[in-house]
Amino acid sequence: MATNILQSFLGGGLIGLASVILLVGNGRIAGISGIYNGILQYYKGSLGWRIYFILGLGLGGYLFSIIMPEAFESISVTASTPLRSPLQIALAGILVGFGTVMGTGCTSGHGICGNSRGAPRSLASTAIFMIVGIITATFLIPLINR
Amino acid sequence: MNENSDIIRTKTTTAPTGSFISDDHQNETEIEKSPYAFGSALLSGFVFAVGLAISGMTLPEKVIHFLQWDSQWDPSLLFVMLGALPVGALGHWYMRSYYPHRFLPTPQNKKPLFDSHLHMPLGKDIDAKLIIGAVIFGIGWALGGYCPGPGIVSATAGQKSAIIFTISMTIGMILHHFFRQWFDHRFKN
Repeated sequence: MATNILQSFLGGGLIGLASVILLVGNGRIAGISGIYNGILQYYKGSLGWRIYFILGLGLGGYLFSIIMPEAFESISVTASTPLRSPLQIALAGILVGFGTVMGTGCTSGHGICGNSRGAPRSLASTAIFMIVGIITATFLIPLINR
Repeated sequence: MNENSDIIRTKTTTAPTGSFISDDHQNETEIEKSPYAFGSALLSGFVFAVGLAISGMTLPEKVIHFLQWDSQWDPSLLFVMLGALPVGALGHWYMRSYYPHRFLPTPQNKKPLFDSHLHMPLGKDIDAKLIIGAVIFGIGWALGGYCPGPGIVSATAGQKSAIIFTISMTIGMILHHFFRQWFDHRFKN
């Protein structure tokens, strides 16, 4: 547990560092849903940095699938893993895509960048998606898995 | 809409070029297309992915056990936020890109290294769209165990569940695009 906490803390620090790199270098908010949606919406004036940011994400994911495969789901499946059907994951994806664009941000854009600059909208958004997430995971998921 | 309508200058009247904040994405300057700007974005994305992978955010069962308040509650993901916020706050304080506070002096924004100015969201209202969007996202996050960043990172790491998630997230974003068109058409005017 203690190593988990340390890892999460260090990983969080790196996420913060990444957001500062994008802020100081490009003057942008490192909100993944916003960056990704900007590519989908084909924002002509700011396509380049978005594509390179997503490429960087992918590069990191690919590298870590080789050097630290236990960071991803299939290797570390335990008996306590909550079962999720592919249908549930697909529904989750649609909700996340729809909700993050409607609410203009996700855990990165609102949760980290917005909160670290003291934006009231981000504080509200973070509080809401955390509470709704906790209610869903605590009460709805046991009903689905029964 | 007027092209410059969403560019708002900060209160300082003697603001030199580059000290204003906008959230436009129409006019791309030369420096934004420089290899330095792209390199900075690439590095940021890479470090972001490393942070996500180390922190455990790419493990959906860990995310779900963090959100599920029962006997198996795993609080470690709380420390992701605790690790990220001070670093991010320092960066935003340095760039003076925080919201102007009544109790703080009016910030003089700094110019980014590879852009003409800061691009910050200008919205201030906690409106129905923000609230409903956060509710929908919260449900999806708990059901799938992925938020957008970890979803994309795990998909490129070859996770089947994350590939399903990322494709359907893309569909969800496109659905929102058409929903907004329909909504604006139906309820405005």
